[in-house]
Amino acid sequence: MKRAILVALITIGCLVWVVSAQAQVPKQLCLHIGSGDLYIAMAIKAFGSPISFSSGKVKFYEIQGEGTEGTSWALPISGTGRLMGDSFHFSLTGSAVSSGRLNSYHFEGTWNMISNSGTISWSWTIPGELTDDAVGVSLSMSNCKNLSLAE
Amino acid sequence: MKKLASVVITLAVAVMAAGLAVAGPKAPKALCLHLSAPAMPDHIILSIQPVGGSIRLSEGTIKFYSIHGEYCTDSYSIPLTGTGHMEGNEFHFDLRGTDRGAAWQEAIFNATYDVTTDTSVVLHSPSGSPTYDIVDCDSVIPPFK
Repeated sequence: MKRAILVALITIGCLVWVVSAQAQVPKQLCLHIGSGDLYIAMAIKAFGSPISFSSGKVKFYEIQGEGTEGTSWALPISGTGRLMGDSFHFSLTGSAVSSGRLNSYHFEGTWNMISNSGTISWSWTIPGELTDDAVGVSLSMSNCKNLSLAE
Repeated sequence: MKKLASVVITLAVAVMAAGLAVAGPKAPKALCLHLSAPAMPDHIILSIQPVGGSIRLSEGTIKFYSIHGEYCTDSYSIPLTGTGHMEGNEFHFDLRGTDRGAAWQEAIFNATYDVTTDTSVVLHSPSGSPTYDIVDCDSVIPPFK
């Protein structure tokens, strides 16, 4: 009798675990942009409760982080992201001072939590002028422990 | 002894009543908006969380909120971040976001609405002031990209 109850409880537990298993957004995510020295390191925190729609649930996240290109500049970034299915869609903004000028950056990308792949677009502006941008650049996972941030 | 108990109970009731009076209406935890043009797919989905405690000002108590969400149409989705505050019955908020669809797009919205009575919100933006209906999130299918 006891064994039957134990088996039933384990079966129910497994079923609950399988049903609830879905893509999870990590608390830290470091991504390599393209093939150069550009990386973003993100600390990610769940924001509020998931919102239920007739088409499924969406969960929002707040993001704080830093962009880095070698150790040549420090770029604090912040933004938002949302998870729907396996796809994490995020947008980040930040600024950096270079040669006495304030440069603003925007990043917008998607990251698939299952395949660990994605793309990102970014733009770089000085006040009133688009300086450079890139669209649909590939993203790859990077080991945060290997990143160095500028001081 | 009975007198002490009645004093304690009276004080507890007074504190609870004062707390309820200060609390007032709260901002919603989620806000789903649909452009007031039924054929248009434009939705704004917002998750709203309080930040810190209430601040007492000369005209009353004010409470701040952090907002994360997304503006989605049938061709693009713009992640949004922003801030808001409750003052009396009114929720005043500012939202911004950037997305690279076919081109770089920036969304900026500012709005105020009465959380106790209003069923729609006028969102002021650099390109105009469209009206959005407040809808039940459970009943909509936002076109997330």
